[in-house]
Amino acid sequence: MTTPPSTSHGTFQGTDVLRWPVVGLLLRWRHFRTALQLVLLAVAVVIVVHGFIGPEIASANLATVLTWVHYRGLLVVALLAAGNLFCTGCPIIRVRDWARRLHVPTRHWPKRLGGKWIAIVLFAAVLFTYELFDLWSLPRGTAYLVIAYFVVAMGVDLLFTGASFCKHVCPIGQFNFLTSTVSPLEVQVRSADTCRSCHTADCVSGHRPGGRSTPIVQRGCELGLFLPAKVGNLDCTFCLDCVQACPHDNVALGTRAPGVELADANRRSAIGRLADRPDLVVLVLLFVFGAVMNAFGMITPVYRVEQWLTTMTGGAPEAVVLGILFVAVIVIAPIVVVGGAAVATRIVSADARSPWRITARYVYALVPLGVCLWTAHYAFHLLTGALTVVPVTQSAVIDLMGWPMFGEPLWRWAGMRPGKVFPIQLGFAIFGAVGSIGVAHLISLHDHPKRAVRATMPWAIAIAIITVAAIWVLFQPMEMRGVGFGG
Amino acid sequence: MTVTVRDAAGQPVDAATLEIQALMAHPGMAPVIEPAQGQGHGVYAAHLQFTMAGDWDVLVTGRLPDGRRVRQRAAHLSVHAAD
Ligand code: SF4
Ligand code: SF4
Ligand SMILES: [Cu+2]
Repeated sequence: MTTPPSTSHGTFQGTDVLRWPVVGLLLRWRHFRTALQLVLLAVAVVIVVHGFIGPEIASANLATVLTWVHYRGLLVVALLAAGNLFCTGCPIIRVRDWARRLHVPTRHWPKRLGGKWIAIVLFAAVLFTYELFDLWSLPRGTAYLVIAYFVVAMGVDLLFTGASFCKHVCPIGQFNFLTSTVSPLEVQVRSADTCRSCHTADCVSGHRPGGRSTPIVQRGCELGLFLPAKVGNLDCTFCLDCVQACPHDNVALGTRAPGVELADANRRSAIGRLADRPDLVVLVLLFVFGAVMNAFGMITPVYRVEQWLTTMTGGAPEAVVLGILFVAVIVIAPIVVVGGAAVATRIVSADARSPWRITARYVYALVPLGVCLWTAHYAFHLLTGALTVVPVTQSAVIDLMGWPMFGEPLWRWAGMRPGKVFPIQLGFAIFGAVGSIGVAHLISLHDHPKRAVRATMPWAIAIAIITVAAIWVLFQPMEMRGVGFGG
Repeated sequence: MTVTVRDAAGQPVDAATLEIQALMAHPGMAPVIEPAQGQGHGVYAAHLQFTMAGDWDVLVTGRLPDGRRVRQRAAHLSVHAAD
C-alpha cells in the first residue's frame, strides 16, 4: 500500500538525537510528551488563576509575565536550538486527549474550509487585538486569551478528527510550523529502503500489532504526514507519535541544514508543493511583516503615527486608526516590496511565470528573516525580563500564604539592560537577512541555474529593505503603553 | 513624588519603612525602586527617575510601624519621551 517515496532525501545522513544516551531515552519514552504537556498545563493553570486573582498590574502578575516574557521567548529559543518543542508539550492537546476519551469525533475537516485560511485570519486577529487592547498590560485579558485557546481547540477537535485545530486553526501552531523550517532538527526516516519494503505505513495510519483488522494501539501522524514523503518540518508538531508507531523503528529525530527545506520544490506529504499553496504564501507574508508590525507597536514613533492618523481622519476611533496602520504594514508593504521583487525577477531572469507564481516560489525565502525578527523582539523581552518571574512568584506566594515562604520579593531582579541586548537584536536581524538571501539564492540555483545571481538580486534588495526597516524600529526609543492611559 | 500614609482613623502614620516602586505597563521591564523618606505628618517623599517612556504603575510598598505589610497602588503615570 505504500507509494514510492518522492522524498528529496534518501537515506538519512545526520545525527539521530533519539539514539543519544540520556536525551534519546527520554525522547523515546512513551510518556515523554505527556510529561511535557503536564508541566505546561501546570503553567497554564498558574497563568489563568493568577490572571484572575492576582494584582491587575502586568509587571506583578504571573499571567502577563509568564505569557509575554517567558512563554514566547522560550518558544523561539527552543525552535532555534532544537525544534517545535512547544507543540510537543502543548497542554491544550493533553486536555483534548482526555476529552476525546469521552467523545470521539468522526467528521473529517471539511475541504471547503481550506488549509490555513482560518488560521491566517486568527493570526491577524491576535496581532491586532494584542495591539488594540495592549494585551501585554492585561493579566485578566491574558487569562481570557489562554482560556479562549482551550475552548476553541476543544470545540474544533471534538468535532473533527486528527489534529484539525493544530493544522488548520491554531495561530501559534502556524507560527511554530513556519519557524521550525529553520530548526536544526527534523523528524525523518532513517532508511528509505525500509519504508519501500514497508506494507503497513503505521507512521501515518497507526500501529495495529495484531494486523489490519485489529485495534490501533498507537496512533499515527494526526497531521497526515506520511514519513517517507514528508519533506521538512512544516505541519509537524514534533509529537513523536510516528516514532512510537513505526514497527521498524525507522523514524529519526535527525539533524539537518536549517532553512534548506524552504527552497525545496518537491511535493510534500499532506501539504503538496509550497508554490501551489496560496494560503501558505499569505501566511508567510503575514508572519514576516507581522514581525515588523509587532515590534513597531512598542516604540515611540508608533504613537506619533497614530496621533497623526487620528488627526488626518478627523478623530477616528483607535480601532480604525490601528486598522489603517495594519493595512499599510501587513498588506500594502508586502504587495509593494514582494510584488516588486517578483516583477523584477521576471524581467531580469526572463522568467515566463506570472509575478504571482514567482512570488509563490520565492516568498518562502523571507522566512529566516521573519524568524529572526520575531526572535530579536522576543529575545529582548526574555533577556531583559527573565528574572522578573522570581519576585512576582515570591509576591504571589505572600498573597497566597500570608508569609514570605520564598523570601521577600527581590523586585530589583529583572535581567540584562536593554542597551546590552541591542547588539544581540541587531545580530539576529542581520543573520536572518543573510539566511533569507541564502534561501533565495538556493531557489534561483534551482529555477534559474544560468542566471541565478540576477534572479536573486531583486529578492536580496527586498530582504535588505525589510531588514533596514526592522533595524530602524530596533533603534527607536521604546514606549510601552497600557489600556486606559490615553496611549 | 510624595505619598501620604494615614491609618483607619485618618491619622497620619510616621515611622513606616516604605519604598516607591514604579512598574511598567509591559511585563518584564526593570522597575524603578527608590526608598521613601519620611517628611513628618505621614508624608513620604522619593525621587523617581523613569527609564523609559510609557505607562507606569506606581506602588507604595514596605512595612508600617506595627509590622504590617503595605503594597498599594498609588498612581498610574504616563511618561512621555522628551522631545
Ligand atoms: S511505518 Fe515506518 S517503515 Fe513504514 S513507511 Fe512509516 S516510517 Fe517507513
Ligand atoms: S507524527 Fe506527524 S506531527 Fe508527530 S512527529 Fe511524526 S511527523 Fe511530526
Ligand atoms: Cu514588545
